[in-house]
Amino acid sequence: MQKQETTDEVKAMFTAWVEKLAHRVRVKYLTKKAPGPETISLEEISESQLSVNDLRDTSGENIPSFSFGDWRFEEAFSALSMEKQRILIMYFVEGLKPTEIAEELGCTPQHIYNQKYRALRQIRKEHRKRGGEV
Amino acid sequence: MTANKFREILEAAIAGDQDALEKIFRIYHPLIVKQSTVNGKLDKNLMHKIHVRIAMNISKYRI
Repeated sequence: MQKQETTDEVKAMFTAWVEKLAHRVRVKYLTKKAPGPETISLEEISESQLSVNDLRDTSGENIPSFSFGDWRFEEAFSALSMEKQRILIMYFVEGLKPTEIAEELGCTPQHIYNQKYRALRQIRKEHRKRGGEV
Repeated sequence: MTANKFREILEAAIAGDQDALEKIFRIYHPLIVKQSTVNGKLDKNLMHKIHVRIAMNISKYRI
């Protein structure tokens, strides 16, 4: 009777081991199969594509051109991350709504609001650092 | 299958007996199929990976 109980315990322990092992393999397999959003390395992008003044939308048309007027703003803007620059351009230059930007970039409108707020705060800070007044 | 018989098979599989390992796979087939099912479909690649992982690690299992 005692031996029977011990062997049942062995089976239960081994079943738990197999289940854990199989689950780990499954998680690793599914993570590899569904990687995050497609990315592109910076080396593959030419300098002209990175330039703010030469941005084109997906249809190949030029987006409206704009000038900062103040070199301090231009430098502060350049210090922003590419994502923040893109959001500001889409919002202020292309005149898109946060919901439309979110749809195009594949994120939530709240993320766009947050990024826009942080970008403007960063621009003000950088502008002040360069002796400007906002 | 009695519990004692299972223990015998498991011990043999741990020792490297291929037939015993095959029996272990047969016993745990439903569990392996469950873990290999993705969106309601059996993923044979995943099933194969689970089999390989069990075969590779069973020798390390301590009763």
